[in-house]
Amino acid sequence: MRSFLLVVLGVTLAACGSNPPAPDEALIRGEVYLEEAEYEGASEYTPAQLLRAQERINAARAAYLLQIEEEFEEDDEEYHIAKRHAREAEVDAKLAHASARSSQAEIATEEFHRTVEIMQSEIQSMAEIQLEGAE
Amino acid sequence: MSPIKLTAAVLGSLLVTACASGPPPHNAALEDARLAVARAEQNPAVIAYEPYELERAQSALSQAEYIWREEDGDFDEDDEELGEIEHLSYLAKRRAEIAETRARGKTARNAWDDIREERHLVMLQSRELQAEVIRQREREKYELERGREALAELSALKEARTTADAVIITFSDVLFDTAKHDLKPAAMPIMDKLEVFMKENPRFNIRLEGHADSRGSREYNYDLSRRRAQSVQNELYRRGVELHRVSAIGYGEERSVASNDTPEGRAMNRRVEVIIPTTVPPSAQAAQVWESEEVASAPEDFLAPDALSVQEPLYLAPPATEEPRELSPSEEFDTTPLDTPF
Repeated sequence: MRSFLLVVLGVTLAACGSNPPAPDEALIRGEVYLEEAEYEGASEYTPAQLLRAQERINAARAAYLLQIEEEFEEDDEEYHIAKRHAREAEVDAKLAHASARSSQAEIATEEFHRTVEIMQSEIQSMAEIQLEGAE
Repeated sequence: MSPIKLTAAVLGSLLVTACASGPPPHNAALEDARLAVARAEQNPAVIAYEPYELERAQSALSQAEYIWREEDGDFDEDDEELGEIEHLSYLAKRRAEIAETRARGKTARNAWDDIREERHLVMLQSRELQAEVIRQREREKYELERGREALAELSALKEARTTADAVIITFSDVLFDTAKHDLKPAAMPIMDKLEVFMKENPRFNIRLEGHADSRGSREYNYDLSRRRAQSVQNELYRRGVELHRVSAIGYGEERSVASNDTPEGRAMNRRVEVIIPTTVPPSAQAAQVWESEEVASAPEDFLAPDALSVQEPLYLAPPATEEPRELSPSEEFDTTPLDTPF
């Protein structure tokens, strides 16, 4: 679906006739990271990072759209600024994604650890009772 | 403040103002990036798991450093180069943070694998324990059954009588020397039987009760009855029966079974009674803890007569048809494979 949209977008842009910049790869990657971060529960684990990443991605997208609207050339300063926006937004989204996944792993591991500890202590006390019984 | 100092201060501030267009002493974004990258570089987990992300952070930082050195701090406020340094620093800092964050997750996932190993060991341990409990219960059942048979044999002796919850064997007066506590050789056949019973049924403990007739002082009778009970206990001990399994008590003349007025009655009152309880408390409290449907419904044919005739102890070879048993306390011990949830 996404690739279809991109193709449509590409065709539309090509139809414009001028030489508009292609959508920044960093922005696309950033949007994917953001989506993944949301899927991994970033709003629960790292809400502040997620919010920042969302804002940065939105800003980068706006800069990109402005780029198309104003028909910037590659050596325009605005073009560079939009590119920086996209790259910074990408690392923000990537960090939000990494944070969500790592927090998830840490919480699950901690819980698992506790469960096994409880199992161990139960077995331990059963073994002790067993030893007593066997004299 | 003296006029001189005031002048110096004014001059100083003028100098500072004059230098304002000069190189800024440091750049906050670049400083942040240096710190973040240095921290990631010192993190062993980052070195181990996220070398690529760290490399990208280092690369962005060194680009920023390069521009910083090239420009030699000679920036205007809205300098394009300054913007590039801040951008690269931002990227470097974030990539360093990403590397550290990911390494943290990787460490947690590795720990998960270790814990899973541990869990596996705990489960094996619990299975062994459970098997041991089952074996013990079966052993107990078997021993109890065998003990009841042996008890039935003992109760057939002419010296024995059976009550609701015990078999009582009486060592009568004729088995002791008069007024003494030593056992006569005539007592040995019964001692032999008792010894065999005690050794073959280690789960049965017995009680020895000495009694006397009413002739003589109470103290003397009490003492004599106690010594007679103890001499039976000593004889058992000499034959290898542990002391703690045999208790001995003297009742003196308190518990007569016949009249003390006739010689026959008195002879009957002078005696040692060996009391063997027919109900044995379960040895393992564990039996209660591990009480489960499976154990409770252990195969009834387990103690079938033909099974009992097997030479090898039965509990060493449980029936091959036995279903694998689930651990009773809870489903926490299930064996379903547990995969990392991430």
